[in-house]
Amino acid sequence: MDFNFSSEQYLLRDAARDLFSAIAGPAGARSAYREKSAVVERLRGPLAEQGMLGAGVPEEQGGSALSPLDMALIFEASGAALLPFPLLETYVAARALSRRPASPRQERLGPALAAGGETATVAWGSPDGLWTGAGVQAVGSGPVRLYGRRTFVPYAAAATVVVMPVEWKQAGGIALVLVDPRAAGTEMVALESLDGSYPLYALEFHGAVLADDAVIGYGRELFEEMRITAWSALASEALGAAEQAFSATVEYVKVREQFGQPVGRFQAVKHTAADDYLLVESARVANRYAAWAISQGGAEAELYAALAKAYASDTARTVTSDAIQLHGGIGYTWDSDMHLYFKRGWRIAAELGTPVQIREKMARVVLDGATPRRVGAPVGGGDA
Amino acid sequence: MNIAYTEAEEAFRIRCRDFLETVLPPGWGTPAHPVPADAEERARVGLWWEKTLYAHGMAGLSWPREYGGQGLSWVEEVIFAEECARAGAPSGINGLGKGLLGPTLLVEGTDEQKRRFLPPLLAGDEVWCQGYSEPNSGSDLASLRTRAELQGDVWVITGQKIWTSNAHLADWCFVLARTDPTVPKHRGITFLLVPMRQPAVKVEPLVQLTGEAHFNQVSFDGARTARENVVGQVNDGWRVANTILSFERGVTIVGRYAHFMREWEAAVEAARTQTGERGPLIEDSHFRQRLVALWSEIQILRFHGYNVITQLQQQDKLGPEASMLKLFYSEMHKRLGDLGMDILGAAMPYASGMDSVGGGTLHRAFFQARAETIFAGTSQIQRNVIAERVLGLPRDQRS
Ligand SMILES: Cc1cc2nc3c(=O)[nH]c(=O)nc-3n(C[C@H](O)[C@H](O)[C@H](O)COP(=O)(O)OP(=O)(O)OC[C@H]3O[C@@H](n4cnc5c(N)ncnc54)[C@H](O)[C@@H]3O)c2cc1C
Repeated sequence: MDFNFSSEQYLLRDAARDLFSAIAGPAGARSAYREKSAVVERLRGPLAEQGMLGAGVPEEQGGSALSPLDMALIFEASGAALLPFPLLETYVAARALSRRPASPRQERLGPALAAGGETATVAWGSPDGLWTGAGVQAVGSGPVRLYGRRTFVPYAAAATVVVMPVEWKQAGGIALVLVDPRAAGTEMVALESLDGSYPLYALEFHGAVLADDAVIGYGRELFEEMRITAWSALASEALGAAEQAFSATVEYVKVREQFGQPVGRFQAVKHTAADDYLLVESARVANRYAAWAISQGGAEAELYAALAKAYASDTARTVTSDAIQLHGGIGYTWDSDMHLYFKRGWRIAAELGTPVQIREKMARVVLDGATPRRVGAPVGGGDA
Repeated sequence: MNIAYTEAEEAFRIRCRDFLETVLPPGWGTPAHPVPADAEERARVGLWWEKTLYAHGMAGLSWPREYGGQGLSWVEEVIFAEECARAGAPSGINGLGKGLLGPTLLVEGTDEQKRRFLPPLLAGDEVWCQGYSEPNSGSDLASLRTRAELQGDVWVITGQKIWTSNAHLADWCFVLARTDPTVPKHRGITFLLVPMRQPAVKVEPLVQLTGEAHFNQVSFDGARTARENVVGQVNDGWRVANTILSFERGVTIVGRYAHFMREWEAAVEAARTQTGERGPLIEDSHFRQRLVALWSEIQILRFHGYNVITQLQQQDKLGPEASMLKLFYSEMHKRLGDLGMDILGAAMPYASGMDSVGGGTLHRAFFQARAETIFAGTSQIQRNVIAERVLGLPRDQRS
């Protein structure tokens, strides 16, 4: 029984932490609030140099092929540093592509993502609000055209390529495809993002042509797998953000004095902190198990990724809210960093399903006995 | 990372299952063979269980062979605890001896003490109780006032203990007593082993909120124990007692998730039969949400357990995780107990209804959880410990 990361994995995390805090951190996140997707330009180089953009790309394609366990630690670090970059989207897109590159264009894309020559994002949102992959239809033949709308496309303005599911009757339901967000017949709409370090867009398709080499795969599986991987990654980011806000808060209540003593001596403050600590440490083991389950492939992955996503989300919501509360008035200012973590935590919690929505899905497995989806063999080595 | 048991450990798990199947009456742990409602009968079953474990070489799994143990590791302890919980095996009557005193003696006891006390403890021939709490010393345990004085070769003990679980069944008590009232409170305490069956020890039952008497008021009125029955040094008892507190809060919790899963399953079963305005409760989103949230927390307890095993294997000790686990499981269990009552709904108020839905499991969980957030350090005390010792927040001047 070894339920811990290896020392190499912790070294990797330390390197990621150093890198992310050097290029991002609260100051970096604030610049994204102002510059929106433009901030991506500056971060792309250093991230590519350190192999972070090739994490989901196989080694033979120039990637670093990191395991889901490695990534659990890396996304914890990116969450903690409020990294304003589509790192998660790049990772899951690359993983989806690497499973079965279906065209020369797709074969070239992996290495380009790893090197930072191209940047990917994922068009996650469906207008039904259920993250189902619905909302855009592929119709006709020679050429196939796209109609409809996808919401929740992070950093779209910085992306050269978008991975998204489309409904496609002739092809048997649903397919995962690549689109160029600037192609004719495609409109990019900038939306106002609650988490300003995570600029959001909608993509509207008015007959954009789906290129012949754009289909990554048919069927729901690929999209679902992408979502399972993203659940675990989001859970890690949520934990990272929660933990960072929490430790800043603990340090603050040690030095802030009222009634002639540090406020951290008041039991009401102590007990809130202790409860939050419990949440953080519990999210940590939940995330660890989810990453392990994904690295093993198989039927457990979806359920435990869901558990981790829901639990870490609840944790991030509570802990970042308490962080504001325990800072008092200063915690409610724009100058305090607490709102950056708070907004990030709540945004992550809503992304790809709120805790309530995800528990509804889990209920079908743990209460109704539905069989969870199997996840295919992992990319880049399964274990540890 | 490798969340898997070795082949040998898996083989041990099979051995545990075989053992449990052989010794437990058929249908044990199912409504066909419910836990005895009568407390005396349960105590008899508890003693039978201790002796059965010993007879089959399943007692003291991680304790050295020379003291009657099996010389295995913590991992086997955890696997066995898990399998017992899964099978709904009875609780032994010597939990405090096995979970607290034994581990302490193994660390702090002399060779002679280990030889004298451990084998009969494991065999179920000597039952132990824990004499710490006093009427005026609970959370502030170090303020305790029970006195012990050395008169010649004998310690003479005078004072009141309270909430002493199983004192009415016990042969021995491990007692914290003040041996030096002139020094600060943590420093003048000694850890003593005191025989219960002597005229100067009086045990009066206290009825718990369940209506049963598991704990007692114990008066020591010049009770005696031999000079050598001190564990550790005289006046060093506070430190000795704290060695085991972390065992109590940590290791014994691992494996318990399997027990909570059984209770959770009973709650799901009840939700299938109980109906609300829109049909079976199992189809109602409110109950689905709470059931899944608790399922998640029980799984997280399992993951915390893997963490504890890993730490014990890699470092052979537990840190502040012990407080964290205690707080986590007991508060979670309370929510599970409450959920069970909400599912029972109109059947909740009937104690006799305890057997109609869920075989009484839900009511037992509901009550048991109330004790768990109090004993072995209340939830408030655990939060203080986490805040001060883990997070480094400034200590309260008084504590
Ligand atoms: C079922 C059961 C079995 C038990 N078995 C045993 C046994 O076998 N042997 C034994 O020695 N003891 C036993 N106990 C006693 C148990 O350890 C004590 O009840 C416990 O330590 C609390 O002490 P108290 O009851 O005096 O409560 P108090 O300490 O009086 O606490 C009252 C309330 O004040 C709170 N409080 C106290 N101090 C603080 C503080 N510093 N900060 C914040 N809040 C505080 C507590 O959390 C609690 O809510 C048992 C108790 C129960 C319920």
